[in-house]
Amino acid sequence: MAANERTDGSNANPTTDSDELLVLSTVTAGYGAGLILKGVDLTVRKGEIVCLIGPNGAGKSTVLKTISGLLRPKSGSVSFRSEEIGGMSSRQRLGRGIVHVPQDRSLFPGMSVWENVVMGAFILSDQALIKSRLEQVAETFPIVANRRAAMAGSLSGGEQKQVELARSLMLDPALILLDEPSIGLDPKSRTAVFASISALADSGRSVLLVEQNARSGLAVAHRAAVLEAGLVALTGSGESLLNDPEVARLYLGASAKAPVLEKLADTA
Amino acid sequence: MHEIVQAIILGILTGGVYALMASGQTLIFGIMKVVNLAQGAFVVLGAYLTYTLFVDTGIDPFLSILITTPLMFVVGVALQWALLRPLHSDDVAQLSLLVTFAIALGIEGVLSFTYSTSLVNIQPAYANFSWTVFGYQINMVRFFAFVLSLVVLGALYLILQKTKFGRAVRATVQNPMSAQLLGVDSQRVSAFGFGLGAATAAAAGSVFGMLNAFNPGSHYDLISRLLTVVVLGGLGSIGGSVVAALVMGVAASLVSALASPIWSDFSFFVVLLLVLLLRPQGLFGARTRGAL
Repeated sequence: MAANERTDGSNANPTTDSDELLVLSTVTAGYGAGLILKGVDLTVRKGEIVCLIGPNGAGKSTVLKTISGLLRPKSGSVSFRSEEIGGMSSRQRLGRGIVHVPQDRSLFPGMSVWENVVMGAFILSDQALIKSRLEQVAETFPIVANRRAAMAGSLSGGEQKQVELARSLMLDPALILLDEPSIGLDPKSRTAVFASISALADSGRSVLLVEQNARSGLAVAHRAAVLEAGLVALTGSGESLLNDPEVARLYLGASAKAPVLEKLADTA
Repeated sequence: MHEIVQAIILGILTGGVYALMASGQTLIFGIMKVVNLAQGAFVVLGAYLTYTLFVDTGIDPFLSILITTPLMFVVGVALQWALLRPLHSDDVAQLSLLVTFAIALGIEGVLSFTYSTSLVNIQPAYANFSWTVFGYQINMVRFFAFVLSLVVLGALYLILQKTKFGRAVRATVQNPMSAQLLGVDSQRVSAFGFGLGAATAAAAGSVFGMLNAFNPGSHYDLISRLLTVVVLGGLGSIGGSVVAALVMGVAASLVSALASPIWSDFSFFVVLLLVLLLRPQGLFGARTRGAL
């Protein structure tokens, strides 16, 4: 049975939508001979927050890496604004407006907050543009100006996440890939991060969010997909999945198995 | 007391030159996680280039670094591109030891073939001039070698802190995946970093050749000292290797003055052993790693 047949049909065949920004079609990817993604179909539209949830090892982070260019797909298509980008380098994809904020602390600990944010515009050479972007970013994230001289390594987890988000805006990206942005944060910082994610979408950007904290991720997302064992098992609006008692039951205490797939197989 | 102060002065001046050699070594390790066993051979190659320029064309050894440094930068970039870049990243730590040792042996072979294995020395007219300051002898070549080391280390610092390339280098050292995700080409940074390491070796080679008699096999002795300095300073920390080089220079000089020159080289390894027993990450390893 193919993956798209297992979805709930709400987003089974979105390829005719003119608002599509990113379309993954039957993407396979992995390290060495092994496949982690086994035919992923996924669409992100303009101004939309899409949340990927699923158990550990399902391939959520691998999806992001395949989109940002850290990993090349073995087969299938990754298209961004109708252009095939699967064979492009990370730098080329950055230039097209795709920014990836990885899961682990991604700041440069021995650089100041300001330098870290400037690094977000590394591929740009227009100094006037960099300066104006810095001003915009500092307005959105006051920590950039308030703690500009502080070493990034000395900031708290929540502060570091704010700086990471600020840095991700330096290229004025169309699509931001966020991997577990709330991991390791205290509740207050977590709330601030999800508020920032909502604000990103409000400003017209798209966000593809991987979130282990399924409830918070689904609450903020317009749409969501459940990834299991390298396949998209379910898609739907964030709200519908949040209110789905089965998804809530399975993913608030997610196991390493593929529960939705198993359930679907049982009923097939 | 006079003897001790004189030994400390000599140690600091010598340590400055080791700092220059070791800064390139630790820069390469910081960027690529490669222990460059060819760094000593780069120094000796730089010394021979300076020797040739001095003997054949009369160019002053200090001025010759304007030629040898860019030349060795190009050699370093080419070697990285041709021999280190193709290594698979999973095996780079082990295989690079073999590759850089092979580079060292290759350089030694070419130099032996070209110059023979006899010891040579670069002897400009001012080689034996000294100043007497408050009763202490300060050798002119050693003093200018120290000043040159400060200038080159200062230039390296400015490159790393103030240029876009320098930011890319520091970013790659501190978080390679993040750097790549922001568009830093890690292969280009590695190639330029290796070139910069070779260039600092060339600058150090010019003064090494004035301070020591050398032959193509001198790199064995040098690399063991350089490894001591970079491990002592904390691998990857340029500031740490500068401090370590000064400590080692002074320690070796004091042992030489107070005990015997025979024990001077050995003191390097005694200090290293003590530091590794008491502080395995080196003097500055934990504190400054990632703060290049």
